[in-house]
Amino acid sequence: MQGYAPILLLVLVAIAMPVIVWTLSRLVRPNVPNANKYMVYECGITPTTDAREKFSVRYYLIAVMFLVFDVETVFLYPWAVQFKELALFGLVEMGIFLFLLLFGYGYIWSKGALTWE
Amino acid sequence: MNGFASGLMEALLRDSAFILPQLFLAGLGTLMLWPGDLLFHKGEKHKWAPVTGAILIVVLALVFRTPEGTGFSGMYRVDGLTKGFQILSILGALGAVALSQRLLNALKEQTVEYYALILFSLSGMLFLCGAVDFVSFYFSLELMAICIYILVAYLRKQERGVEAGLKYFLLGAFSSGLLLYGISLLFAATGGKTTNFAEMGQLLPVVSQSNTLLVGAGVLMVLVGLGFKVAAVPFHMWSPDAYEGAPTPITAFMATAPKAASLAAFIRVFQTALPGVADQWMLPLGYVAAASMILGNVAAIKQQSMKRLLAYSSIAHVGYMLLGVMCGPEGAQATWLYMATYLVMNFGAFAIVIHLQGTGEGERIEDFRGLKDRHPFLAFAMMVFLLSLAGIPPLVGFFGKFYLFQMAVTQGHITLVTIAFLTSVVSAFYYLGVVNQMYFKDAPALAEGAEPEATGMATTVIVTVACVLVLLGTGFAKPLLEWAGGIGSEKKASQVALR
Amino acid sequence: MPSPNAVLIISFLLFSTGVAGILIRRNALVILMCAELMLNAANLNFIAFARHSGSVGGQAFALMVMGFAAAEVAVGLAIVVALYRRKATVQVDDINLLKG
Repeated sequence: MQGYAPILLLVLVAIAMPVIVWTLSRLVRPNVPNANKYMVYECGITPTTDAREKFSVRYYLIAVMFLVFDVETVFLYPWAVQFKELALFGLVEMGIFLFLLLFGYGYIWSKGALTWE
Repeated sequence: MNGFASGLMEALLRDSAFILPQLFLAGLGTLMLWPGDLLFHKGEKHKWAPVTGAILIVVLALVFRTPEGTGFSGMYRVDGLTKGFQILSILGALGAVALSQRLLNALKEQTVEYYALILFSLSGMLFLCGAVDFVSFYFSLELMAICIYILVAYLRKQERGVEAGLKYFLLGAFSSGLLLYGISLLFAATGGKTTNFAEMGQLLPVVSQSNTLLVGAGVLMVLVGLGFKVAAVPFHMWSPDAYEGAPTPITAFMATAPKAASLAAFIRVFQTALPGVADQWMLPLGYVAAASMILGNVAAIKQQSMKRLLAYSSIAHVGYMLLGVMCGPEGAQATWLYMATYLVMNFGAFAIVIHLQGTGEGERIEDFRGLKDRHPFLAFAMMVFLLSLAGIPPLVGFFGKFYLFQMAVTQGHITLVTIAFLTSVVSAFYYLGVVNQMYFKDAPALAEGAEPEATGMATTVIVTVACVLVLLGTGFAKPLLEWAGGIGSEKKASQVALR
Repeated sequence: MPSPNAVLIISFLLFSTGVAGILIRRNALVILMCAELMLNAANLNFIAFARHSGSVGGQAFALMVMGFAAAEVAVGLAIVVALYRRKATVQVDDINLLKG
């Protein structure tokens, strides 16, 4: 556990810093409450609606599709690590893998999941 | 190309013969979704069923022709056990596709996804039957389960279906988390050396001396995770709800095909990877089996819905089949035989339920009142299936049960067999209750001029074939046993041979 | 290299958080997240012990699990959205049509 002592120290300092700064500013600052100060900050404009707005369900659809296609990159990493050893074989294998993804893409396209009306 | 890559290439080409059925299934399933649906049959939703049926029959033939052996660096193995349970899964899928027609034709939407999902989940099952490594095991289990989550919630306009889908999904995700954590603990117990079943089977007895807690927890979590998948008590909570809410053909599918594949995995995991630590799981597995038999049968008594009744009865039958898992290598063939008979009876019963549901007669048990007047043949067939499910001789259900119980007695599981015997007497009570409704209760008055609808072709074929098999199946006992014998002996061989 | 046994404790904490969340929380989305926590706890074990023994199998397993987790989340979110469209709720306590 010897090697972890600096990390412990860092954690302590990191906790102490905001506590000190916060307490100092509380002591120093003038206290003038104002309703406008409690308003949500929206680039200096008076906010019109609640920030907790309902999103269109299409966002979720796109998010799910993004998620699936994005995580496929996970399977590219082992190939990248072994790129030299796998040589042409690896390239062809990955080509097949990515080609298969094309079918999924074609499917969601043909289903109209990518059009936003 | 250097030696390393060309070696991989060679292995890949050699081993792909083992997974030809799965490649065929997954490939055609993908092509069906895109561009198949776009190019052919656009809007013609009825046409995909025969295509799917043809694919499944070809896959069945391919499974018979697959060479035996181990491939993919010891990840996948084809032997008697693999083939036996693969055949059951394919038959389950075939039945589900045949029974789905009325339901799907009533839908407005495209249905190609339905068939593609059945094909994908079936390819997961086929992989699962042959998985001999925790990596391939978990991969195929997830492939199978994820497709079935969607199928359960397929009728997304129906609140019941979506609810069932969500329930099944949440509990399924929970159970696969438990299962994976259990696997990771076993992996940790071996010191991070291997995930292969056979290698683990050799390492675990050694490391369990020093890492008792780790191995024990890992084994128990794997047991719980698999118990969820086959819906054994006390991990069965999802099953009646999912069975009731799912489209009925999918219920029939879930009760047979994934169960067969999961039982194959059950046998593989416990007989290949964990036989050396049997003292860790034998007792809990015994409790699970006993609880499944008791609770499944007792809870079925008070059910009003036929689908729920069949769900609880399937829990009870899983309890019986777990007896086979406990019986060592010889138990594999008894389990297979039991699963085969269960598949036939279950599909027969579900075909009738689906027919009655489709004609608007409903799925409640009281809707079966006076069935003998409306559909004499269906009533007779239903009686045969129910009596066979209860295990009354000389029907095929009795044969499966008898063989399994006999096997368990010779292995010394006397208490469990006693429980199994007593609970199957209890089960006769509710099965006969339905027969009573069909034959000795008066039918509800039919609406004016309403004629009982004729049975469709698929239903007639399935019911007739299943009925004949159940009635005469015991006559084929000898060849069936001989064929199933291959499952057991291959199993023994697989424990010796590693790669 | 330190023994990976300490990792077991962290992964167990992560796993327990996941299990507790699934048992306590009633929001379907939160339950989904907790299920992912359980998978990640297992992943931690795989990676730590594979690194310890120098075998690549465990690391590959962890990568594959990430793929499955994404697929599972995609399907789960789709089902939750379908349920929300029907019932306008994602609380599991409101799922009460099926009983017995």
